[in-house]
Amino acid sequence: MTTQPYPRAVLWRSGAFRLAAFQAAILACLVTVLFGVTWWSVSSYIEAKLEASALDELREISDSLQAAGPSVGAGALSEVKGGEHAGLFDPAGTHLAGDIQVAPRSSGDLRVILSADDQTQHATRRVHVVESSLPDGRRLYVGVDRESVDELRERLGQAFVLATLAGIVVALASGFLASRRYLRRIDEIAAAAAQIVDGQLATRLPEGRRKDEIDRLSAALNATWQRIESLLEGMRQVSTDIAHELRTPLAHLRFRLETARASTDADAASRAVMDRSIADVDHVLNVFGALLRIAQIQTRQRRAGFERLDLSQLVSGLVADYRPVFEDEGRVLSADIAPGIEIVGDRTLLIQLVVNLIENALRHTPRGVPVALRLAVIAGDAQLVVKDAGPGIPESERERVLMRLVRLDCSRGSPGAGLGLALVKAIADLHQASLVLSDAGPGLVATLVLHNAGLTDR
Amino acid sequence: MNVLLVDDDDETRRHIVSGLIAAGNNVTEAADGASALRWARTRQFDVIVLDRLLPDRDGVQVVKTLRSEATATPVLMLTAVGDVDARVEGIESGADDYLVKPFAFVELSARLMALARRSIARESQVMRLQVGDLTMDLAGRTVTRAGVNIPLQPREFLLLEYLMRHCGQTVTRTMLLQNVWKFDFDPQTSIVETHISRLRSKINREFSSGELIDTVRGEGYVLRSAPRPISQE
Repeated sequence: MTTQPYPRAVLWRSGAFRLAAFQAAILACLVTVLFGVTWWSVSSYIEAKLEASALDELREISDSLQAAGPSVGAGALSEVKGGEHAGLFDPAGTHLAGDIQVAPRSSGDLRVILSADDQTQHATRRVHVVESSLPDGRRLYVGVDRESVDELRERLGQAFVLATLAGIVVALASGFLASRRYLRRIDEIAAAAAQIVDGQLATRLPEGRRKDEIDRLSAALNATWQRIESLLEGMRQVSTDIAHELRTPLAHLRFRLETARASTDADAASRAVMDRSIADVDHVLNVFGALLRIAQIQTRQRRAGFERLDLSQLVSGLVADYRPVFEDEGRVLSADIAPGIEIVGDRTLLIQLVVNLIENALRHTPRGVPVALRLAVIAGDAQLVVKDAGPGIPESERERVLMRLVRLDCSRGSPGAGLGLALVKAIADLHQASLVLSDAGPGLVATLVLHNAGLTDR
Repeated sequence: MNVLLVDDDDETRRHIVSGLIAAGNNVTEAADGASALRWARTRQFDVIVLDRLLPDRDGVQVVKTLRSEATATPVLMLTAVGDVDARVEGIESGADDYLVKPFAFVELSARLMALARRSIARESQVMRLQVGDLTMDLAGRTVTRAGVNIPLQPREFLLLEYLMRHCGQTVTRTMLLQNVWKFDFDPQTSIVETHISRLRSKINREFSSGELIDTVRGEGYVLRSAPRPISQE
């Protein structure tokens, strides 16, 4: 089990942000359409005005030229308005008058070569040109400056681009802010849920007064968690009640057997019967005690007892305790323990965990089979490995032996309540450690990985 | 020994009382926390046996009240089987020992004896323990018998220290597991027996002055102040 079962929310994956991005895209589309329509209508209006004023001028000049007759001087066209240009050419295309120096090939929007007023410099400008043939064959061109129109169009386009960009930025920013707020609350909910999963059943979410959708979700989750807590509490109450109910008659039974055994009338045969009966009662009580113990550990009531402890010291002490037991059976317990490994945990329960792993190897393997224990820090995690060269556990059974009351009598042939590994598993879970049983080929390897191990400063 | 026995279960009480009286003790009975506190305030007891599950309050509460009233009488708390927090909560509240119900009577009487005499056993300022010709130097962590140094493993040292502090008293296997090994569970292997036997062979080796650690059949071990000749073994 990991500490954080739910990944943190990612901003651009959030619904609110996606909605904001979608809205920004819609806004951009709408602005583009609006721009297109405005552009088109403004353009066509201005083009029409341009054309009309060019034609007006053409007609005016043409009329005055016709009235003046075929021979006019170079200054004939000098009175054209500002922003307008004109050019008069003979049928062969020779420039007669006006600032348009070269006869354009056609009418429409063109670049034409213009002379400045002092006739010394030429320039080209974009103009809208209209033309007309005089009755004597001369050709008259009138051009209206396009520069102001082009500039207008350019500014119009810039204004729209700026407005669109600003709109998108504002939409995304508001989406970002809204979804960040939203995500913070979602993260709060996920963190609270993780605490519940972790066994802190009293965790609740704050319920705001706004009664928005998150508040309503929080209220619903709180109600759910309340229910879970009371159900679990009820279950624990039931098991405690059963335990209490069964404990008392069992205690009476044991007391009575003990009293009867101690009485002077009992003969050797009945004493032997009573001894066996007491042993059976004790066995029942042991199983019962282990079951209650596992249940208590599973409900995580003991985090309070956690302290920083030297795991290396704890394990090597236990290895030293068990070496003589192994030696008496003519076998070897070898150990490779890295010094100074520190973890946060419950000392009493960790002692039981290590003892159960060692005893499991000791009791479920034939005499003479060596057992090896290793404690090391691997990638910041403390790894405890207990390996025996006994018959091992078939792969299909490995998950099952970690459950309560499962004992592989046929294959391992030894006594026990079948709760040793289940207890190890419960203690490992309490410490958020992983426990894996695997094949030592032949034999069994139990690997316990405790996270966030530290090393003492030495 | 004056014993105050607090348990709401009549049959349990009757069993314990008959055993304690047969062993020559005076027993006062109480069935709930309130009367237990009344008795404890009016009379002087050598030891109090207190069930944790009482009808009117938690035994832990009773001990806390007693301790807040400066009653120093040793308390043995009886806890239910499977109670993981029994040791931690019991000891933190000020109880001196705890025992899981049901228990063998010899277990209870061994613990009561140890508690009643704990002033000797708990003396922490002591630098040296002496039993017969066996001497333990607590500061130097050395053990000598008749002047000859006996090298011991750390756990063997703790085991011998516990036996010496309870010299002459029967010490049960569970008491050793709890106090020497800090196990609050019963291991399935012969760890206590193995270490006792190693310790025995070390402190007896080359000394003809006799066996110091006796096995009390069905009860536990006792370190004798006067060694028994080995020939009787």
